[in-house]
Amino acid sequence: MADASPRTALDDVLDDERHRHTRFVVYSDDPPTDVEHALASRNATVARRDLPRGCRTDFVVVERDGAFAGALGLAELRHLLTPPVVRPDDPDDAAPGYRALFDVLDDTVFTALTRRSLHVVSREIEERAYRVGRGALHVTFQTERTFAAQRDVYEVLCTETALDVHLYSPDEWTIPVPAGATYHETTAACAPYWALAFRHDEHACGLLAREEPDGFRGVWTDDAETVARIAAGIECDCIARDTA
Amino acid sequence: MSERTDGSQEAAERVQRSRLDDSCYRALSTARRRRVLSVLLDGRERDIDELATLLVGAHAADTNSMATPTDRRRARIHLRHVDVPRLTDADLVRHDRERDTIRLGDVPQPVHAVLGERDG
Repeated sequence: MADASPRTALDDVLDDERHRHTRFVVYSDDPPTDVEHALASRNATVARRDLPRGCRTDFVVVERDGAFAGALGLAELRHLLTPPVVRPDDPDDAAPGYRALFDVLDDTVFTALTRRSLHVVSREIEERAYRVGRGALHVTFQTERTFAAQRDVYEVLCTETALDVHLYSPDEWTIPVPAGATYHETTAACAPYWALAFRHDEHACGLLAREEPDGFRGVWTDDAETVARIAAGIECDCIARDTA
Repeated sequence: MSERTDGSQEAAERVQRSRLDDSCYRALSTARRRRVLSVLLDGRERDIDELATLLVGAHAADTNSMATPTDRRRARIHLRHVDVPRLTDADLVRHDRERDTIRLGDVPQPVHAVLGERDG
């Protein structure tokens, strides 16, 4: 059809993530609850097992592509899946289990995430990049106004760290870009995307979400390979085309 | 001579009983091994990977924490090199080394009572 939108590299990255398989195995003798329905809506499958003898509390094992990724109490998982998702102020001070939980859940393709939640995730990625202080940070902004609200943060990132900062947007910005950052005008095909990719050998993390009628869908990940693909997708799709 | 033999046999049996008691006692001295036994009381054979998963999952639920792949790896190593040998020494479990599976062995009634009271 003539009106079909061109397929972007970010579309491909997101589709690949959607096809990764996450399975939650719930160990409980009680009937399934809303938590299990919520898990199923996260592009995951849910299996049930009886709670083994000698185990007092219902728990959930998370498997990613067939491998053990984590385990936690069913009650704790219920708490974490209940909006709003609350994150620790300083993830470094958080219990290792809490961070591990986000490593698992964040790597899951999510559905219908709100703009507010994406802001929280974005701040987490920016803060990590700031703490690490090295590496490359690629960030898309849907509008100039979105960037304006965050400009001070990026000023600090550029002046107080050795980060290689790249900013992308379909808007033609009039606001000054912080010294040390590189601005790239993007194509309109990337306008629905909200993406951050912090590339680093040990501390990579990234977010890729697409705006759809019922909210944002996407992935938040600490997997360096996925982060690299998000960054490549941004560069591939978002570098300004020749308008001639 | 025969009395002496009988006496030696009795002594040997006493020593054997004592050894069994010691090995049982040692085997039951950690919550993790009591939990392994409790899990196996359902009569099913489990492989060590599965047992490691159940142990870290149950522990995470008890402590409101999140078990990581590293926790599970450690649990598996501990199971293989410490817990299962202790339980096997006490004859409480059987380890099929070829298939790397564990099933319940001869569990004396007092052990059932301990598991029922403390971990069931």
